[in-house]
Amino acid sequence: MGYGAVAVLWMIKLFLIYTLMVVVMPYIILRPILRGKAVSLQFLICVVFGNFYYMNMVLFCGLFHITSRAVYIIVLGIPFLIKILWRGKQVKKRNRTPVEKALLGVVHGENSIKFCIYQCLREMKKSIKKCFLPVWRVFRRNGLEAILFLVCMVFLIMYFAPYFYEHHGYQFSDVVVHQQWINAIDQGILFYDGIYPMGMHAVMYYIHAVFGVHTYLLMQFFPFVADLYIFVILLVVLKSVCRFRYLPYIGFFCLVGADYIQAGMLSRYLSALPQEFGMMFYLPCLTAAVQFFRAQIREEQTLPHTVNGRKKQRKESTLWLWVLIISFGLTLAVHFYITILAGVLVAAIAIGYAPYVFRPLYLKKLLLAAIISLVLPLAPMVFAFLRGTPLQGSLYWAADVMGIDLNGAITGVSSLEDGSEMTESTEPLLYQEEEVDDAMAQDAVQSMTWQEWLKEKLVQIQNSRKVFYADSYGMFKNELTYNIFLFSLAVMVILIPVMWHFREWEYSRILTVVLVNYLLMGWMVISKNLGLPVLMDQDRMLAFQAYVTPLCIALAADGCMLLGFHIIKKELLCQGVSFALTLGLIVFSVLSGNMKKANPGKSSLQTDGAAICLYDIIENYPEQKWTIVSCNEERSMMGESGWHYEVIDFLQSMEDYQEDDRIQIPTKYVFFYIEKESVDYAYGKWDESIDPTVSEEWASKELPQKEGISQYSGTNRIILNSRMYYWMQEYKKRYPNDIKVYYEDEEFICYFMEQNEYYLHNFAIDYGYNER
Amino acid sequence: MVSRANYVAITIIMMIVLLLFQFTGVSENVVLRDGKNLSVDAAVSEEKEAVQKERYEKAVAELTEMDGMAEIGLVGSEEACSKVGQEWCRNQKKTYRFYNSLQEAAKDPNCSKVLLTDGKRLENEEALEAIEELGKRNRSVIVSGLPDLNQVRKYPNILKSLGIQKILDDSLELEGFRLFSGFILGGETVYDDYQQTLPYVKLDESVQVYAVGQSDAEEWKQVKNEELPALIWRNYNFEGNVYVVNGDFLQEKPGAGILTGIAADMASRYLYPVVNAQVSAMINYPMLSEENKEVMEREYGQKSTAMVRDVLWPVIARIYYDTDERMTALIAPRLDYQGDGELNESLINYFYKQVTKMRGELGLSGEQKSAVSLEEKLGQDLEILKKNLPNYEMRIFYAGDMQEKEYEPFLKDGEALEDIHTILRDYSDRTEEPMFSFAEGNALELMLYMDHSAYSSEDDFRLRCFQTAYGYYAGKVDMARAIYPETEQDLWNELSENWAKYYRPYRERFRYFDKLTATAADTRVRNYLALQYDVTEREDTLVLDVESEESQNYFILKTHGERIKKISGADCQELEKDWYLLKTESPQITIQLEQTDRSVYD
Repeated sequence: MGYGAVAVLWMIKLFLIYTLMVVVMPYIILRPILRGKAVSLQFLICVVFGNFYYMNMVLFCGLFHITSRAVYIIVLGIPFLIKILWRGKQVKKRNRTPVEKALLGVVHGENSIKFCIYQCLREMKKSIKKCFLPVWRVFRRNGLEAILFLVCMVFLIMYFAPYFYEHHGYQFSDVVVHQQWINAIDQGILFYDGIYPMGMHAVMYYIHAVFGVHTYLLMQFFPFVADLYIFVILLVVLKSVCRFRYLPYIGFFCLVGADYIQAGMLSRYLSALPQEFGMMFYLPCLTAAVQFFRAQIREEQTLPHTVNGRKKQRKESTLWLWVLIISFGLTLAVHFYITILAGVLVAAIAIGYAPYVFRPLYLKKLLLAAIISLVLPLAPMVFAFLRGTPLQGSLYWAADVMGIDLNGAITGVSSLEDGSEMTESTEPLLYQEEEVDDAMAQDAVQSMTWQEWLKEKLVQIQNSRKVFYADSYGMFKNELTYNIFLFSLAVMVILIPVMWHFREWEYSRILTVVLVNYLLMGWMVISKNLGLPVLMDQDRMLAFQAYVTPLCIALAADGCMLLGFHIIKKELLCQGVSFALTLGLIVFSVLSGNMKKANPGKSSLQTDGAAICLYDIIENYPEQKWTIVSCNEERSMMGESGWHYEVIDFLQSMEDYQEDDRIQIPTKYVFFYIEKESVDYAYGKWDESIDPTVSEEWASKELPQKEGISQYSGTNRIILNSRMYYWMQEYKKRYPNDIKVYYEDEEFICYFMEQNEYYLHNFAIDYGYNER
Repeated sequence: MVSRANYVAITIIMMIVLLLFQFTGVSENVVLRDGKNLSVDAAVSEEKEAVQKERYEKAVAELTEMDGMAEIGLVGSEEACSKVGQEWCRNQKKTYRFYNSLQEAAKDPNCSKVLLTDGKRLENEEALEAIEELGKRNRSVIVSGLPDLNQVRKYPNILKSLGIQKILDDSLELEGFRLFSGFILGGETVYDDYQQTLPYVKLDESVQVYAVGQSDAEEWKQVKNEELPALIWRNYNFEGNVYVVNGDFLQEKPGAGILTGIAADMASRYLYPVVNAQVSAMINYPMLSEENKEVMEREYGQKSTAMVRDVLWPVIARIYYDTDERMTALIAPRLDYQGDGELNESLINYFYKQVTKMRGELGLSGEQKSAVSLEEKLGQDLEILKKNLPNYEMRIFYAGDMQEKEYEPFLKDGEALEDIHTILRDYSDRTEEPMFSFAEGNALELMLYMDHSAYSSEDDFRLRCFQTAYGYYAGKVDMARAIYPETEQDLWNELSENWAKYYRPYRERFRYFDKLTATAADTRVRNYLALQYDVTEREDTLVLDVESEESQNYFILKTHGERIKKISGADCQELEKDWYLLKTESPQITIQLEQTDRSVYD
C-alpha cells in the first residue's frame, strides 16, 4: 500500500470525525432551533456553534491545566445530558413512543424482552429511514442544484486532494511551531510560547485528545478537511445572499474550479495555518448580519402579535445575532488578521444597513453583541495575561506591521508569523529604511498642491492595478479576466440604485455591503503602492480578497438575473437561464482548458520520504522507544511519541575524533535520516551550479557552526548530509547485521538500528572526515 | 406429550452417547491388553539404524577429508576448545581442519573462514601479525579466553586487535553475568550466582558485546553499563572480526551453544540442523520392593511400595500433565538386591497401564543401592519383567554414571541388554565424551544433562547452550532419593516441589521443542547425526538441500532483522525474535525472507 492510500484514508477519517463534531452533534442538540431553516443555513449554524463549543471547552479547561480525554468527553456529554433531561420532562407530557412503551412493559412484566428488542429494531429502522429521508428529499427537490454541488465538490477535491496524496512534507515552517503548541496542551500548557489566538489549536487538540489522532497526522491531513469546510461555507454564504438558486455556483466555480483566479491564491490553504482556518468564520458574519436584519425588520413589521408568535420571531433575530457574535468572536479566537477582515466587513455592513444600524434598538443590540464577541474570545487570553503569561512574539510583529507599538520595541521576541520568518538582526535595518522613506515622502507631500497630489494618487492607483493580475502573484489570470471582473463590479454599482426602483431594498443593501467590503479590501491591498499605512501584508490581503471575489461575481450575475425577473416576471425561466449560465461557464471552462491544476509543489522543508518514515515510525514503534537523528523538525512533529537528535550535535560530538569520544542514544530503536539529495531549505530549488548530492567533496568541507536554522540551510545541509552518509558507510562495516535500510527513495534514505538498551552502542567513530 | 418418533430419536441419541463414552474405555483396554511398548512405533528399524550409523560415520570422516577450504579452522588439537569445536563441527556438519598455529592458518591460501584458537596462543608478535593478516583476508578469529596479560602487555597491539582499549584489572572476581538476548536462545538472562575470575578490560568503540559481568555490590552500581567487564564480544578487525570469549565458556561442552551464537552472529542468515527433542526421565521409578522400611515408616508413615503407588504417582502424574512432557520411567524392580524386601509384582502391570495411558514409556534402570554385579542385577530384573510384561519390548537402559566398558558387554547379541537401543547416561563434563554417540551394536548413547529437581545459574546456562546448539534437552529426576533420603532435599515433599517449580521459569521458554519419550528422541538423534545438508543463498532466498533417510528433519534459522515471508518444503515456527524452527517435509526447502523493520511505503 502506498502512502497516498494512507493519506486518503486519513483524510476520510478526519473528515468524518470533524463532521461528527461540528455538524452531527450540534445538529442533534440544536435541532429545535434549526427546524424550518434552509439546509445550508442549518449547516452554517452547526459549524459555527460546533467550533465555538470545542474551542472554548479546550481553552477554558486548558487554562486550568485540564487536558484529560475523559473530561472532554464528559464536558461534551453535558449538552446531551441537558437534552435528555429536557426530553425526559417532555415525555411525561406527551404520549410515549413504542420503544418507551416496550421498555416499560418489560419493567412491569407486561411484555417479553424479545418483543422489546423487536420494537427497538423496528424503531431504529424507522429512525435511519427518517434520517436519510430529508437528504433524499433535498436531492429530489433540488436535483439540478445537487448536480452542480457535486460537480463543484469534485473540482474542490480535485484541486486539494492530489497534493495531500502525492506530497507529505509541511509547506510552511510555522506549521511545526503550531504543532508544538498543540502538543504542549497535552502537558497542560495552553499558551506554550506566549499568548496567541489558540482557536485552531484547540479544535485540533480536541481531535487529538478525544479521537487519539496524532498531531502529526492532523497537521498533515486536517487542512484538507478544513478546506472543504472553508469553501463549502463560502458556498453557503453565496447562497444566503443570492436570489437565484444556481448562480452562487458561478462565483464558487470561478474560485475553486476555473483558473480565472490564480491557484496561488489558494496555496496557503494546503497547510494547517490558523489564518486560513479562521476564514471559515469570516463570511458567516455576513450571512448572520443579513439574516439578523431581515428577522429584526420582519419582527418590527409584524408587531403586535400573539405572545407565542412574537416570542418565536424574537428568537429568530436573537439566534442570528448570536451567530454573528460567535462568528466574529471565532475570528478573534483563531487569528487576529481575520478579525481585521471581519471588522472591515462589519464596517461595510454598517454602511449598507446605515438606516437601521443607528436606530437605538439596533444600536443597543449591536453594541452589546460587539462587546460579547470581543469578551468571549479574549477572556482566556486576558486571564492568562493577568497570570503572567507574556504575549507571543508574532503578535508584536503583526502589531508592528499595522504601525502599533505594543511594547515600545521588539526586543528578544522572535517572529513566528506564517511564512515570514524574520530574524531579529534584520528587523532594525528594515525599520531604519522605512523611516527614511517615510520622512522623504512626507517632505514631498508637503511641497505639492492638492491637484498634484490627486493626480499622483490616480497614477499610483492606475499603476497598482497590476498587483491584481501580475504573472506570478496576481489574483487574476490575466488583464482580460481582471477587466471582466471590474465590469462585474461596475454592474454591481449600477444595480444598487436600479434595485431601489424595484423596491429591492434588502438586495441593494447586500450589494452595497459586498461592494464596499470588496473596495475596502482592495484599498488595503494597494495601500502599500499608494504610500499609505499598511495594515496587512499585500500577498495575504490578495489571498483574502480572492476568497470574497466569488461574492462579487455571483452577485453581479444574480443582480442582472433579478433585474430580468422583474422585467419578464417568469421565475422558472429565470432559474432555468441561471442554471444554463452556470453550466455553460463550467462546460466552457472545462472544454477550453481553463481549469485549475492541482498544486504540484512539494515541501521545501523536508523530503516526502522523511515525512512517510515519520508516520511509519509513529505508527509501528512503541512510544518513547525510538530516536530520529535528522536535520529536520521532527522534534515537534513527533510530539511525545519519540525522541530527536540533531545531526549537527551528532556530528560535532565526534569531530576531531579521539578514542574516548562517546555518543550514545538511549533508546532501543534509532533511525538515521540522510538526504541523498539535500533539500534547499525554504527555497525548494537549488541553483544549477550546486549539485546537492552527497559526495566526498561535500563531506570533506568543514562542519558548519551550530547556529539557528542556518546550520541546516543552503550548502550547510549538503555538508551535513554528506558527513552523515559517510559516517554511516563506515559504521555499517562494524555492524553489518545491525544496520538496516528502513526506507529509501531517490532523494532520501532512512537507516535503522536496534540497540540493546542495557549496553548502548557508541556511535562515535573515526569515519575519515572527522580526524583531528 | 412426547411423540413416538421423538421418543425413538431421543433413545437412539442417548444410546450413541453411551456407546461413545464406553468406546474410549474399551479401546484403551484393547490397546493395553497386549502389554506392548507403544513407543516402538516411533522407533527406527534395526536395518535403518545400521544404515544411519554408517552414514554418520562416513559423514564425520568426510568433514576432515577435503581438498579446498574448510569452514572451520581449529588451532591446536589438544586444547579443550578445539575438542568442543570439533564436536560442534561434527554435529552441525561443518568441514574443519586443524592448524598448529594462527600463523600457519594465515599463511594457508585456503585458510578457513573462521578460526578457533585458545587465547594462550596469542602471546607473541607473530600471532598479532597473523590476526591482522586474517582480518585483512576477511577471516574471523574466535579466541577462547584472554592471553596471559603480563605477556600481552609487551605487545599492546595485540590488545587493540582484540578490541581492548586498556586493562583495568588482571583478575576480577565476578559474582555472575548478564547474557544479552539474541545471541543464543532463551532471551536476556541475568545469572546472579555464576562465580568466575577473569581479566577486566575496557573495550574500544567498534565492539559489539554479548555478555557482561553482573554484581549487586554497591561499587558496581556506580559503573556505567557500557564499562562493565565484558565476557563475550566482537571486534571489527579490518574486513573480518575477532570474537573474544573472556572466560572458560569454550573450554566445556556448553561451548557448542556459544559457537552456534557466534556462527549465527557472523552470518547474515544462519541455518543449522537440530534434534528437536526434549526427554524427561524418571530414574528408578517405579520401584517394586519394600525397602528402607524404618526410614519409610518414619518419614512417610507407610511402606515403600504403597508410597510409590499412592503418594508418588499422583504427584508425578500431575507434574507430567502440567508440563505436558512425555514420561520415560526407568523401572528399578529393586534397589537393594541384598536385602529381603518383599516384591510387589502386581505393580508392574499397574504402572505399565498408567505410564502408557500418559503416552510414556518404560525402560530399565541400571542403578542399585547394593553391591551385586550388574549381570546379576540385570538377570533378576529381566526375569521379573518378562514374567509380568512378556510382550513389552524394553528399549531403554539407564546407565547412570557407569563407564561404557561396564555395560557394553551386555549389549552384544544374546546378552541381557541385546534389545536395548537407547542408553541414557549422566552428564559428563569431559570434552572427550560427546553428547551423542554410538555404543556397541547400534545402540545410541544420550546424555541426561539436567536434574529437574535442582537449579543453578550454571544449569540454566548449560541448558540454553545445548538447546541453542542441538535443540535437545534431556533431564532426569532420581526417585530413589525419595526412598533413600540422605538430605532434607531428598524427601518427597521437597523433591516434588522443586521438580514442579523449576519447570515454568526455566524450561517453559523452550516449549517449542517437541517433548518426546526416549525412544522417539533416539529416532530424532539418529536422524540428526546421519543427515547431510547444503545451504545456498540467493539475495533474499535460501535454498536448503537435505539428504536424509527421514523425510522430516529439523533446522533452526537465525536471521538478523528478517522474517520468513514464504517457505516451501517445510513448516516454520518463530521461536524468538529472529529465530525460526523449520520442520522439513521434502528434500529441498526454499525460504524467502523479508526485512522485519522496513517501511511498507516503498
